[in-house]
This record gives sequence, structure tokens and C-alpha cells, in this order.
Amino acid sequence: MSITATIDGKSIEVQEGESILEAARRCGAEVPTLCYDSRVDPSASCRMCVVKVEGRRLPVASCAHALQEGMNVVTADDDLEENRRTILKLVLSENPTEECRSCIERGPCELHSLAGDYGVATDYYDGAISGRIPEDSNPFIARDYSQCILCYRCTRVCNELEQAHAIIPEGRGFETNIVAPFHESLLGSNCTFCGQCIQTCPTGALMDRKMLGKAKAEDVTKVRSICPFCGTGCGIELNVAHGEFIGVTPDWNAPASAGSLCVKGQFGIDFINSPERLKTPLVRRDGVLQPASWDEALGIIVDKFQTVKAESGPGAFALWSSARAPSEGNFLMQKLARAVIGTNNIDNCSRT
Amino acid sequence: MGNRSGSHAPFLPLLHDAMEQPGMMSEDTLNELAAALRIAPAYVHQAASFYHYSNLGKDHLLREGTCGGPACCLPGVGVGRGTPGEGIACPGLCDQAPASFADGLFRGTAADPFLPPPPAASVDGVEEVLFRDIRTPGLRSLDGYRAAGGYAQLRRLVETDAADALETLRASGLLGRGGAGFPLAAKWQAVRDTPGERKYVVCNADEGEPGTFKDRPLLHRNPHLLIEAMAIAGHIVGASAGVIYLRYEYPEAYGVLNEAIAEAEAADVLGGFDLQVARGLGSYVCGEETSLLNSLEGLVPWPRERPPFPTQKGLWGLPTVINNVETFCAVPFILERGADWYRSLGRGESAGTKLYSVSGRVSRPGPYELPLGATARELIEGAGGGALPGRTIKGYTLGGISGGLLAAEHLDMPLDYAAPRQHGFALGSGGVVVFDDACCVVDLVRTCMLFYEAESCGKCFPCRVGTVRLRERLDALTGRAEPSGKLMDEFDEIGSAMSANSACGLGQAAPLVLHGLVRFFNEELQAHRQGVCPAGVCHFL
Ligand SMILES: Cc1cc2nc3c(=O)[nH]c(=O)nc-3n(C[C@H](O)[C@H](O)[C@H](O)COP(=O)(O)O)c2cc1C
Ligand code: SF4
Ligand code: SF4
Ligand code: SF4
Ligand code: SF4
Repeated sequence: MSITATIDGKSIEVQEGESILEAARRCGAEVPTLCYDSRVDPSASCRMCVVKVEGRRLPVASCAHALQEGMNVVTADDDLEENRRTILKLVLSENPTEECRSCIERGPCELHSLAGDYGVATDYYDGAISGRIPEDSNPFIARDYSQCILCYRCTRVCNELEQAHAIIPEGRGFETNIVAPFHESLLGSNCTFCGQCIQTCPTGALMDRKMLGKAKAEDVTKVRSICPFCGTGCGIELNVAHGEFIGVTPDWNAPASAGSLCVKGQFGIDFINSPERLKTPLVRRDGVLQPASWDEALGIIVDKFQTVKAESGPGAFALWSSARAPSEGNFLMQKLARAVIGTNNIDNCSRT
Repeated sequence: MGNRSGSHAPFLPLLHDAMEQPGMMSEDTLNELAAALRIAPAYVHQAASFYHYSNLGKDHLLREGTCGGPACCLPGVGVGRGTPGEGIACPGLCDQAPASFADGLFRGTAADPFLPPPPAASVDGVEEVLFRDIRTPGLRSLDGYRAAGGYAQLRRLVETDAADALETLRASGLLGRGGAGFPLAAKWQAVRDTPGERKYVVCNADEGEPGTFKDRPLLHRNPHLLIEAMAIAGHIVGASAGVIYLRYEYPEAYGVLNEAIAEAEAADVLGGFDLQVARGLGSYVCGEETSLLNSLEGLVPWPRERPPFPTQKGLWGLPTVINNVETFCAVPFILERGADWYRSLGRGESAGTKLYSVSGRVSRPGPYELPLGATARELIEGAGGGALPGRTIKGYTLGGISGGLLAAEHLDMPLDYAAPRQHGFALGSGGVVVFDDACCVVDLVRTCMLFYEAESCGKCFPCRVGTVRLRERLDALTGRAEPSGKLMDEFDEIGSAMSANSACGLGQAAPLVLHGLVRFFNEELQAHRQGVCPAGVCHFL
């Protein structure tokens, strides 16, 4: 059912259930957020997105409330903006960062972009800091909670979206920490190293360790591609700096994955630069694998197939196709099995 | 770990069971707990690590301490001047300060911590209702309670029409006594009207507000009154199950309530209403009704966004009545004696009586039942016996501490729901902490802020960081740290962002004591900026 409401004086029609935040953004209002990730339930933590709703005594967290029929919403006025500025000053003061790793290497982080917009990048409060750096030598995720703002995006993504349940906020209040229960390092935890926590983090607290220190954000070019590891076909961006591949970020617009990746797509693409990578077929001559041409290699395979088929019949063959191959490739593989070799012994690794 | 399969909310009982094992909770114990609850261990870990008295993520179980609360830290009462990080959260023994914790029990100075003193005859128009029978020996037993007329209203209700009873409650004007003052009948009507095969009645017996200890005597001395009232609620709204959420700091009441429930069930007086008690584990925010529900469900007890209200989606997403102990306990009396009688007990527009708590620097601290709308003077000078010998009262906090802070010039303000609003303040729980010329009001406000900081759940930015920043600035004013020049602007900015943008009442109300300080004690505040504490409490670096 659709409903009609007013946002910043404009009348808007939306489907029932749409959040005030999403509707306001579609109307062109720039409602700031720090803890919002549309893929998981809102936690209404940062309180930056609060808006005034006529008839409500206090401002309302627009991420967590649906627009209602007849609602009259104001997304920005002096009070709202002043309190947003104060919240930014508070949150910047919690773990002030002279050099934000994200801003330097990944491009402006959400926190510091907003701080810049509100003119408080260096004008924050004095006081104790809350963050800490866990002993964690895992090879994939560089965790530094002295840059964390406790927005709980990483923990919601890990628990709700990934269902990995590796990390969680522990304790309460200012002393809350993001932890992998009972483990300093993610290595011993439930973490699957999907890297999704890094990708949602609005600060430099979580970074791709493999990319750390490799390049400055302005030197990086992103090349859209598809992860080659499995048939899901997740969209990736190959990050290239100074002519060299340095790491992967997800392609948020990829239809198959919409930003999700697994450990292979996120962290496994660095085989590109591996010296062990095979670039031609190898054929064993005198007990040693040696580079060969495709014609030579395929010729040997055909000969051996024919010999086996002549000696033992087509039932001696079993073909195993790959999930990494596209559907067309898998179709051709079963054609090869049935029509060329003459066996029904054809299967695919993703079925097991 | 025990079998809790019949429990309406097994998390807290299971967590208490798990804590019986010594040392820090092990990964195996936690996994067992999670398996019993069918929740991912990570969520259980998050929830269990939250509470002051849980042994998860902490090296040892907190087993002793003295109170770091506002009444206990006043000069001449307890430690006199709190130190950061020291002291347990207020255990509700402010009238018997200083309070301390050892061997699982919380104790103040009184021999019987649960018996309220009778209000002084100097307060006019006192007709006690909730405390009428409370000093009667044996009231705690079923026989004792029945001898005082108990369970008659529940019995009568079963035979008559629940809709009439709800009309009586509406006409009585009874407002919630836990803090927000929401009309009881409107809440019960909403749950009655929400369709649902299963509904719950939940009692908020968390009483975590500092300077508030009025539910304490009812829970310990008159358990059947609460039980009857909750069964009445169940009958009216169509719920057959109830849970009492009892704060960790009242361990004796846990035994008392369970014994009373068992006795009532054995005598079959509850008409099938299944009532259970869940003990908290030390957390003020769990008194916020939606945090309380999350706590029962084994989730981290951060408040929920509202709407939906608990009347629509409460415990386990089902329609739920949540009321304070005192609110429930008024119900059987109203049904017995009628709406007009109850209304007439209050002053002016106010209906009924109120249980006030008075503590701090007064001669006769205690919980007192007075007409709703009695003035602060009647409570402090009448019932509370007035200033200590040779001292002058300087001011008092409201709502425990979360309603604001006023000066002696406001002693004639009625303690009703309307009057405090003229200052932007609130009656809240009806607790009042009194301070006098020996006390430093800046130091008192700092103690309050330390409490909010320790109890802030950490869900939202303005409160999680704001409480700390305000306390640090109060540290500087009270000689504990270097002061900064921008103090007054910072108070203003941080206070306003917290009041407007915080996700729950804790962060919204935390700046109120500070507003009181700035507005009514500015001279004392400014003296501190010059390194002078007029009361001689603060020592400057
Ligand atoms: C931080 C916070 C703590 C609260 N603590 C309590 C409490 O300990 N006991 C209580 O009855 N209400 C408490 N409340 C109020 C409850 O949220 C709720 O309004 C009340 O239980 C409703 O019952 P009533 O209508 O009978 O007052 C608290 C509210 C807040 C925001
Ligand atoms: S990498 Fe994935 S599984 Fe590991 S902590 Fe981050 S979100 Fe959770
Ligand atoms: S690590 Fe990043 S995503 Fe996680 S809570 Fe901190 S700032 Fe938020
Ligand atoms: S990222 Fe993982 S799931 Fe996605 S295509 Fe690559 S291997 Fe498959
Ligand atoms: S106001 Fe404080 S206690 Fe309430 S949700 Fe926010 S952080 Fe938690």
C-alpha cells in the first residue's frame, strides 16, 4: 500500500514500510548517518539521522522508523544541525585519529567526511579515549580500535548478514569493545575472513591488511571484474596502483553479490602476482614437468583417451566439471562425456 | 546447568546457574548456555558480558564493595567523596547509608532494611494505602495477607466483568509510578484490545534509580499484594503468564516472592495465572522497559526503538503490560474502595497516594507514603524529619536523581507530575536526595554523572560519550583534573545533544542534574572555577 507524507515541505508518496531515512534521501535530503548499513537492521546508535516529526516531543531516529501516512518531517534545521555537530565532536573525541588509515589509503572515510562537512575535523572535545588495539596477527584484517567509533556495523554485518557470529560488542558504555569472544585474534574465532566488516566500517578501524601501506588512495584505480573462484560470480573491483594489482574491494553494484564476497574473492585474488602461477600447459618429459604448447598437451590427452576407450570402453571414464566454469562450459563438458566419449559418468564439483 | 524448560524467560535463570561455577565464565559454559537457549553463543556472550555482577569477560565476580551512589557519597554519610571507578551502583539502601555489598547481600546500617518508618503525624491528610498493613507481622504469608483482606479483589473479579474493573481503574486516575506517569488504564486497555492468544504481564521491580527505595518494602513485606495485582492485570488484559523482573540487589526478595508464589499456587488462588520471578544481574538501564524485555529475552539489554510499544510487541514480540511495583500494588485497593475514594487521596488535581523516598542529609530518611502532590517540604521536613541538627538544607534532587535538581527555595513545590515540568524537570520515581550546607552540590552532580557513565549501555553515541565528557568536566571543577576554559559552552552543547538525541531516558535525563546546578547554584559553580569550594569538600590540585 502506498502512503503520502511530507518531507522538508515536499509531498512524497512511498510504499508503506519504507524508513523515513530512505524516503528522505530519495527526496534529495542529505541526512547524515554513521551507523547505517541498509543491508542489516538499523541500530539507531549514532543518532545523526534524527529528524523532527510533527507531534513528537523528541526528534526521531529516521533509520529505524517507517514513514507514516500524513507524517510531517523536517530533516534539518538549526537545532538538528547543532546537535549533529555536537555528536560528531563527541564521537571524534572518543578516539581521535591524527592520521586516519582509511582516509589516506582507501579514500575519505565516512566519519572524517562528515567531520569535514560540519567543520569539526579538529575542533572536538578533550577527554579520555576508549579504543584499543588487540593482539591480532591474522593475515587478513588489520584491527585498530583506537580508530573505532562503536557504530556496531561490523558486528551487525558479521552476525546478521554473514551469520558468522565471530565478533560482538562486549561490556557496556564507554568501555564497550568489539571482540571475538574468548579470542584476541580472529584466527581462532568463527571468522571466515569474508572481509565484510572491513567494507562496512566507516572509519580506519578495520582495514585490509594485504593492502595496508601499498598505496595512497589517489593512486588507486579500480577495475571492475568477476571473482573467478566459483560459479556465484561475485562482482569485484581489482585495485590497481602504479600498474600493479594490490587488492580487492567489492563491487557494490554487482547483481549477483551486491557487495558481498567470501574469503576467496576478498583475499585470494593475489595469485595474480604469484611467481608460481602457470602460464602454459606443462608436460612431463623424462619425469620432469616442462612447458609445452597447447597443441602438444591436447594431443597427448586425445591419444591417451583413445587408448583407454579402446582397451576398457567408455565406462572407464568419469568426468568431473568445475563450479568455476560458466554454465555454457559445463554444458559442453557433458556433451564431451555423453556424445564424444559415450559415458554418463559426468558430475560437477558443486553438487558434492 | 539446571533445567529451565518451563521458564517464560530462561536466560537470566540460566545465567545465574552458570555463575555458580567459580572464576571467569569459560567458553564451554557459555556454549552450553547458548545451546540451552538456542541462541548463537556470540549473542549470549554479548548479553552476559553486560552486567555488573556477571563473571563473563571479567577476571572475577564482583563480590564486595561500598556504594558509590549520590546519597552514600555525601559528606558525613559514607565515603564522603567518590573516586572514579570505585563503588558499586546504588543498591537502594540510601535511607540506611552507607550501603555495602558482601557475601551476596547488600546491607545498610538498619537492622531491618525492609520496614518503612510510619510517616510523621506532622504531614496532614496522610492515609496510607500501600503501606497500610505493611507493619503487620505475618503479612508476608498467605494467611497473613488474607487476614488483611487479600485476594478478595481477584476472586471478585473472576465472578464479575473485567471491563467494569478497567473503568474503575480509569476513573481512579492512576498513573504509572515507575517514572513516566503514563495512565495505567490506557496501557491495560491497549493490551486488552490487541488480539493475541498469548500475552504477558511484566512487573518492573528493577528499582535501579539512585535515591529510590520505595518498592523495596513492598517486595519484601507484602509479596502477595503484588502477586494479586499482577493476576488481576492478567485477568483484565487476557494474559495467563507473568514475570517479575527483580533487581539483583534485592536477593532476599527473590526468596520471598518465590515462596509467596508457591504458596498462592498451592492454595490455587491465582486462577491459573502462571507467575515467575527473573533476577537481574546489575544494570540500571534494565529498568527501562524495553531494555528489560531484551534482558529477559537474553539479548543485550539495549533499549528498543518505540514504536512498537510493548503493549503491541512486548516480551517475545507479544502484547505485554509492564508496570512498576507500586503501580500494580495500588490496583487491588482501588478495586476494593472505588475510584472516587482513590482520587480523593491526592492533592488538587492529583489522584491517590505516592510512595516517596527521602534520603541524604535529613533526620529520618526513609520511604514514605503521602498524598500525591504533597510538597517537598512536607516530605523532607515533615516525614523526613528535616535538616540534621545545626545544618541548613541547600537543595534536593528529584526523581531519584533523574528528574532534576532544585534549591531550598523550591521546597514548597508540590511533588506531583505537573509542577516539576515548569523547570523542565520530572517527578520520576518520587525519590528525593537532600543536601545541606555541609555538601558540595558540584561534587554531588559529579557523583550522579559518574553513575550515568557507569550505567550508559553504550548503544548510542550522545550518551555513551557525553556522560563521560560531562563527568570529566565535573572532575575538573571538583579539583580532580585540570579545568578548561570552554566549560559552560561545553555543558550546554553536550547537554542539549544528549537530551534531544539520546535513544532512551537515561541519556535524555542525565543532563538534568547539571541543568539544576547551572541554573540554581551558579555561584557555587563559578567559585569552583576559581578553585574554591564553599562547602570545603573539594580539594584542588
Ligand atoms: C533508564 C531508565 C530506568 C528506569 N528504571 C525503572 C525502574 O527501575 N523501575 C520502574 O518501574 N521503571 C523504570 N523506568 C521506567 C520504565 O521504562 C517504565 O516507564 C515503567 O516501568 C512503566 O511502569 P509504570 O507505568 O507503572 O510506571 C526506567 C526508565 C528509564 C529510562
Ligand atoms: S571477516 Fe567476516 S566473518 Fe570475519 S569478523 Fe569480519 S564479517 Fe565476521
Ligand atoms: S570497527 Fe568500524 S564498523 Fe566496527 S564498530 Fe568500530 S567503527 Fe564501527
Ligand atoms: S567471492 Fe566467494 S562466493 Fe563470490 S564468486 Fe568468489 S569464491 Fe564465489
Ligand atoms: S541513552 Fe544511554 S542508556 Fe539509553 S540507549 Fe543511549 S547509550 Fe544506552
